[in-house]
Amino acid sequence: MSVAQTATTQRPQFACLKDLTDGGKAGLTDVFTAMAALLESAGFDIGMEFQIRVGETFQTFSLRVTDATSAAGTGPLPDADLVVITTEETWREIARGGLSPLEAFGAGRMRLRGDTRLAVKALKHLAGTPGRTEIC
Amino acid sequence: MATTTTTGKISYIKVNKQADEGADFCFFGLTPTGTAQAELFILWWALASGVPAATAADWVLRNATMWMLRDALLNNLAVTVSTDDVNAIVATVQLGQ
Repeated sequence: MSVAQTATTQRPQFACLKDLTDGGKAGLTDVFTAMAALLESAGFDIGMEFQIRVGETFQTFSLRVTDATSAAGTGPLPDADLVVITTEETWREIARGGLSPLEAFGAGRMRLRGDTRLAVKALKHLAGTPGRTEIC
Repeated sequence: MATTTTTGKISYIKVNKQADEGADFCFFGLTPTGTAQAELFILWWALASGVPAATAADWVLRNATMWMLRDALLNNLAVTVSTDDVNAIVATVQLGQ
């Protein structure tokens, strides 16, 4: 069997997020506020920074959940557990539940820095569809 | 779309070969110089690069690149990778300057 034949892959089903966009109406800041609010019941603390490319420039948003209390807004989070770097288009697809974050990452549409185990825990909590929440 | 280069130390290399489960990949962590957090990079992942299927030449290049990463990990050498600015799939891997 050739190498090319062995590379045939069945596409796995990855979990998408719950809709954080209020049916597509929410702005970017509102999306992160909604995400932070959902994470209040996750049972763990987390700080996340999002670097979103809008056109040719990056805008930075962040959220923090501490002791089941959340805050979100614009600007960096210097001690973030997790940094997500993507485009506005990709993020909107993810936030409305139309694209799995894992699939976006694998398709070269997202970068991830920081504690990936915490990312998996957050994804499990935020998942709105069935499917895998970790790669293996 | 801009190219981004990241220089740092390899923190781990993870290879998996479960093509039937969509988990045929090589990931590695790179901790950029001056920071404490590793960034997750993809050398290959069948989900991302399986269509068309990888050729023998692809596998030779993957193997050679993985050995560069291994050398860097074992000898604590700095590595520079380049990617598109929102893309974790590495375009180039460089050892030395």
